[in-house]
Amino acid sequence: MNLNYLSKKLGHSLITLFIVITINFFLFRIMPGDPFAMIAKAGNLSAEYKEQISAMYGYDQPFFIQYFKYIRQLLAFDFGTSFKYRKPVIDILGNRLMATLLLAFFAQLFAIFLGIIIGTVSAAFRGKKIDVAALGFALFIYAIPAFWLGIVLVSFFSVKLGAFPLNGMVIAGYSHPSTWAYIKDVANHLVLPVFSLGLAITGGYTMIMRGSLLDVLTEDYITTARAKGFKRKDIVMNHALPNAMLPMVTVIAINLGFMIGGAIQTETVFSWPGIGRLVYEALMARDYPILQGAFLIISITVIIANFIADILYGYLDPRIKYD
Amino acid sequence: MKKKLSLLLVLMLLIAMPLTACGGGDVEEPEEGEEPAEGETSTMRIGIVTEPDTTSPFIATLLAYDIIDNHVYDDLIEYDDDLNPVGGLAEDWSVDEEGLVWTFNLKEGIKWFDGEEFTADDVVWTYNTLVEGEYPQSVQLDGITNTEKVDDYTVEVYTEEPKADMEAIRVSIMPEHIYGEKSLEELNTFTEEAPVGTGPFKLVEWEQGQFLRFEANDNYFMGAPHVDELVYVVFANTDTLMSALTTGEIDAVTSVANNQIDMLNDDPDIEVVQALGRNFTELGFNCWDSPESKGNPLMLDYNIRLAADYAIDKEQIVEIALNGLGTPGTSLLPPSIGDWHWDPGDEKHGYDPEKAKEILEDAGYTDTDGDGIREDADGNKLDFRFAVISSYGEAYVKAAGIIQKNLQEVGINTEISTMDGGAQADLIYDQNFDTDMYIWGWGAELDPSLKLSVLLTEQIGKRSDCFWSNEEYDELYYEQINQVDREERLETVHEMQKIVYEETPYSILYYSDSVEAYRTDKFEGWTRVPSEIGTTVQQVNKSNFLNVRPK
Repeated sequence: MNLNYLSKKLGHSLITLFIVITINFFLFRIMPGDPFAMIAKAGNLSAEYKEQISAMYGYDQPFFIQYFKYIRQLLAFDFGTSFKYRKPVIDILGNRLMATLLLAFFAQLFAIFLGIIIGTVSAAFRGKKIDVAALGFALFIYAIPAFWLGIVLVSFFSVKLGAFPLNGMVIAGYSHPSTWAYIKDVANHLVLPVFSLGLAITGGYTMIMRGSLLDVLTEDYITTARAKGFKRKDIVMNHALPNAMLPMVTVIAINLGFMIGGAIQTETVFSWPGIGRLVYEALMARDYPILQGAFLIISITVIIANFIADILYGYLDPRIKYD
Repeated sequence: MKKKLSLLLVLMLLIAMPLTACGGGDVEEPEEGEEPAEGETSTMRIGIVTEPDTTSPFIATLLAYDIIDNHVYDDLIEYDDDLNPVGGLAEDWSVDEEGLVWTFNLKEGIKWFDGEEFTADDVVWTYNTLVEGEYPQSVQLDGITNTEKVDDYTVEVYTEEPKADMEAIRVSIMPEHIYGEKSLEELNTFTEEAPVGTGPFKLVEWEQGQFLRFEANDNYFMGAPHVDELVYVVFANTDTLMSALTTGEIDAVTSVANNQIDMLNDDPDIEVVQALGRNFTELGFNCWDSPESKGNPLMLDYNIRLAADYAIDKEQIVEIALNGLGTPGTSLLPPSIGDWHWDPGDEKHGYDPEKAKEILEDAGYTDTDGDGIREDADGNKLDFRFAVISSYGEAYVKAAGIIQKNLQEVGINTEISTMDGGAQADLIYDQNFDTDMYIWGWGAELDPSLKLSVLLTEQIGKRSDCFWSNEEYDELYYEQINQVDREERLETVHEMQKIVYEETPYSILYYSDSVEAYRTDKFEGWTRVPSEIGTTVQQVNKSNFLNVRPK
């Protein structure tokens, strides 16, 4: 890997991160509404008490002082204190992020494998019955909303068959005798959400894979390879597939960021304790520090995913190395 | 070619395998996990959709916090099953002749979870801190000047004036030995992971977004609970919540969606509890008589508000918005809090569009230009903005649709805008009441003072949501908080509700029922408070969770 390329991409990522942090800070300062109005309604707080709380959160100081304080705190991994829970944001976000990452990772894995395989088969047998079937399947699952699929899965596998748990990430309140028991419990709870979220994005992956592979298969070097007498399997797997992977990498990187924040429907159907639900609840409660922290973490995930995608580009496409 | 195809199929299967295999292998796991737990310890699971915000009563603002409050902490005075005051942490109490000094004798030998003994110091610290600072619970102690320790098991509470609702105070007594060293600022963020209380259950584990686990306090001074563990399971949607109840994954739910009741009633192992709810939902009018108000000044004429009260078909609202699970509203305090509720009797504003038109006509509002909307003498149209919260479920939105239609029939036009709860609060509190009407609901305590105080002039900009002001009402309020004689106070409280009913700053739309459900196959001894008509899972006292036991 070219060091120059790497440092350039890293620099881009850091600049993006800085811009995100800045926007993130100012966005929440100009949002309408005073979150204390909600608290005041419930608790009948006097002006003095509101001032006291305001000082506690540092809102009594000028914008730019708050901004530098914010950056200084971020460097120390201090994301502030939640309005609603009155606890450090990082404590609340941490567990939720792990739950979401777990769900997103396996759903991605599931979708990537299935998408690549169906897409490849489909492209390799273009126009054949199997292609029509695969394309039909892909379009069908692409059109299914993830939450609807989730509800169907729950009512069939959990309610009717009792094969999988309905709710949550572990059996609520159960003390697991061993780590292994805990992992098995989480895995058991993970199956349906991963399946429903994964299947929902498989359709898109399949079609991109198919389209991209079809493009590559019409390139001259493929004709050359064919003329040289390579087997069809060799041509698809070794000659075409690596080049066809490039658009996939981009889409996967974008999707990963989307899934961190956007798995809210799946999280709601399965009561998965992820970050999407937390963001929704925080929005309803106007818990700005939580929202701010969550947005930042989602942004960082997207930036990291894109950075990794950039590096993968370097590997997949030799031309980039010499840019 | 066929071979290649089958190879790919095998590959696909292989990828799918780990998923199904790991699922299949684990199928028995939940049962395996639960069985031993039921042999030795009994675990009751209760499904909830909103979890508490914190473990500290100094910070909590959500109703859902009551779970922790009710299980972990005790008050000086509790309610018995007929809603009469009985001793909680207090053995007995008395008041001096002038009604200004209350003496509480405390029960002896009560231990905090950490083994420290409960004494007068805890009561003195809790009361004085709440009086000194401003916390959600402080408002209950209004009128108290000071609390003093006489000896380890006696405290005296001093008040400025006789305090009528002294026996209605429900303030969690906090452990002075843990909270006592905290400054008022620190109390704004201080929370205990495992709060130390005196109550029947200890909170031992809380996975945010997942569950709260309580263990029975075997040393509870009113007798140990028969259930070893209580687990509150957080559900993100009510459909799976109901499914979990029918499959037995949970044993009880604190609320049932209206459209699920019939399904649950068909299940022989499930008991649905329908009780009068201690709440009211109102159509509120912008009554702010101030140049700052951005409301339509026509709304200040009580004739229009009164006409609206007659024009609205509240029975239809209950039928459609609540699926019949409620009572059409009349006066401010709901019937469920007993005789504090004032029944208008013959003066009731029933659904009567003709009467509404008559009131508007007599007040000089007629439709002169034939567009179906009435105008005043200067040509100002009865055209109002109507803020409706859409984030609290369907009831408000459905009710708003009916209200709009009803008002249109008598010549009042409304423009509905839907928004979330925060946006409505902004309109009222931050943007100088930039709307004319709205729908909002309140929970009601068993003692009337707190709800009556919402409409005080001094609460404008604070807890008041309609910014109404009435001198007579204010005077009567300050009179009733000093009326220790219940009969006298009852009369004053009724008088106040009558004023509200006639002036109509609120048109009380309905009192909605609270509907709970529980399974009868694993636990017995479920208790309603008050008996026959009350709730079971969420109660004003601790009866149910002290009575309920494994079968």
